[in-house]
Order: sequence, then structure tokens, then C-alpha cells
Amino acid sequence: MAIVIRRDLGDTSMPTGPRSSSRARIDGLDEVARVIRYHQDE
Amino acid sequence: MTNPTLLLITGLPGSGKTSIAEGIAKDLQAAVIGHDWVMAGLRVFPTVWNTMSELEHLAFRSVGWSVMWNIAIAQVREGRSVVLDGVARAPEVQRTRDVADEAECRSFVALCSIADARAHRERVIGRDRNIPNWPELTWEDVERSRSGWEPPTDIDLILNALDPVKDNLAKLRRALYEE
Repeated sequence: MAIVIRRDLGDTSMPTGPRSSSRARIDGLDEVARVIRYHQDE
Repeated sequence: MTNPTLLLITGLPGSGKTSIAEGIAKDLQAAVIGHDWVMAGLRVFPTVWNTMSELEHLAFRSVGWSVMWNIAIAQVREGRSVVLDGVARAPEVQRTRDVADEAECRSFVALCSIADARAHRERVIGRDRNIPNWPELTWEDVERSRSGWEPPTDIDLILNALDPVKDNLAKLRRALYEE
């Protein structure tokens, strides 16, 4: 269980930390936009 | 006003909800709780976000609204008004009314309406709220939302998004204080 928590916290810090301009963040936002887009379509 | 109010500002993305919410919140000395801000906070936990993503549309959105309603209840219990800012459809409006009833405070729902698609497009394209870890929707996204948008009917006031913000705030103040 502790490992799961640590992994989540690690992922949390990634988009907000110094690596925020990384390609990973850009891809992450694209994926988030896809999910939002999907769920806004009734 | 002496009793706290649970105020909901709804409308499509880019219809000026946040400007109205922030403006009226100053009057009410209230906090603004934005749906996108809550969802952005949840989004950074991959396990949570992935699970949410697989929910039905209403359930997905309700995760954020549920957090907002709980924070709102805590505020109104202490006598503070709250402004909720998000794309609330009929179910979210109804639940906001119920939450206010249960918390024994007043509810008020304002709808920001924007009929002119061209003006709407300009607003969406120029928008950058800078919410951490949260993307801005494109006009194509919002346009698709527009086409399927059924505004909630249980509302107290309609604001024309193309009117100046100060005029809309004045209109909202009148409705809030005179009700």
C-alpha cells in the first residue's frame, strides 16, 4: 500500500515541478483534454 | 443579506461565468469554488483520474461537483456564502438546490448565456485561465458542446454574456438583494 501512495505522490509532483515543461506534461494535458472532451459530449 | 447564499453560476465554457463569479464573490465576501480547479486537483493522481475517466458522463462530472458541494456545506454552516462556478446541467443544478435546502441556506442559480457563436468563438480562443495541470478546451470542443447544450431550466436569472461584466454584476446584485 505504501508503494502505491508513494507512486501517486511522485506522479503528483511531476507536472507541477521543474519538469513541467517536459514533453510528458504536454502529452498528459492532451490526454486530459481528450477525456474532458469525451465527457462533455452528452 | 444576513443568511448565507449558495450561488451557482453556470453556462457553457467561455460564457463569462468566472468573471461573474469572482465579481459577485467580492460583494458576498464569499469564496469561489470552480469545477475545473477541483478536477485539475484530482487529475494529478493517475489512479484516481483513470478511474474517473471510465465513469459515465454524469458520474465523471459529479466527482468534482461532489467535492464542491461538500466544501460549500462547510462554508454555509459557518455563515459564509459560496459561489460555485462550473458547467452545471439540470442534475447539478438540482443537487445544488438540494444541498442548499439541506444546509438551510438560500440557493440562487444564474445562467450565463451566449447566443452569438462568433463572439463565443472569440472568447474561447482568447482564453487562458492558467489552471495548473489543466488544459483549455479548443473552440472545436466548445462548439460541439454548444450544439448539444441544453441549458438548465431551474434558474433564477439569465445573464447575456455579451453585456458588459459590470452590467451583469449589477443585474445579479439586484436579483440577489431584491429576492
